[in-house]
Amino acid sequence: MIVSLLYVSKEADFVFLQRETGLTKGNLSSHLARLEAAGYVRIEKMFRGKLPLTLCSLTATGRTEFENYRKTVKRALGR
Amino acid sequence: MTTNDPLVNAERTARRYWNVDGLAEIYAGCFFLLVPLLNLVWQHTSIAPVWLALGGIVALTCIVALSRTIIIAIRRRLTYPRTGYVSFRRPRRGKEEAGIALILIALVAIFVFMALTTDWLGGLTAISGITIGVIDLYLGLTADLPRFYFLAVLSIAAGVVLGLAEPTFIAFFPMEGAGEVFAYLFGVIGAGYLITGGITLAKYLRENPAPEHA
Repeated sequence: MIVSLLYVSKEADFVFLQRETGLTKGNLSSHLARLEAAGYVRIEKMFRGKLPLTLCSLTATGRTEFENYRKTVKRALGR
Repeated sequence: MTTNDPLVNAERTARRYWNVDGLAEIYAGCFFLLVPLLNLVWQHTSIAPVWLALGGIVALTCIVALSRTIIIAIRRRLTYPRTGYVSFRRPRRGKEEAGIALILIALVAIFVFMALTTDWLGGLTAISGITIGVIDLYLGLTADLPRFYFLAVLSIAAGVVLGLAEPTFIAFFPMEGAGEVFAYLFGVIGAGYLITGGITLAKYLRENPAPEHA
């Protein structure tokens, strides 16, 4: 779900991803950390005015791997 | 309404989020209401119609060109602190986008043809309402937002009724002259957008209070 949302986005912040996935802050942080470690997601921490902002986006590798995953699943399901 | 395909669901989420706060509808409502407003100005001032038409075209063009910038600027203060920020990529749809572009070009061609060859203003009014209604229906289907079905019915009904009826007896906003039918049509559609947008915004602000540090 996280990767699907990031696939259709240029970038999304932590609050949006948490809201749309329904995950807790801890769970979402954990998933994002693993995706970042695998090189699929880029995470930028910054401030917008006084508010902290965590922006997430898919890397080119992440985008390619997700497309490959979808093709594999479709092939496996015979579509 | 979700499907088994997470990517389709994600795209629907994307389209739905652009309409989560009603701001886009409110903006569109203001755009549509500019037409009857210009008509009223023409009725009650001595400004020459050509200048009013030019001013109207400039105003409408600016509103469309600046729509994304203005809506995002408002969202930075209102929406993003509450429910988060996202910037969407437009998916490449190829055939679907080409099909929609062809339909729009065909409709514009029909409008131009009818404007040049017939006085049937009623037909143009009906087609305008139906076109806007079809766009609303498309938005409702792709973003899974039922309120756009209401807007679709409103636009189509307004277009057909005003196209068939004689609107000069409508005394609430007495207007005369060319373009009054379109003024009524866009007035009804604009009011519809403002109402649904306003209700959506009120509901959104009630359900998503501002964070304490904002």
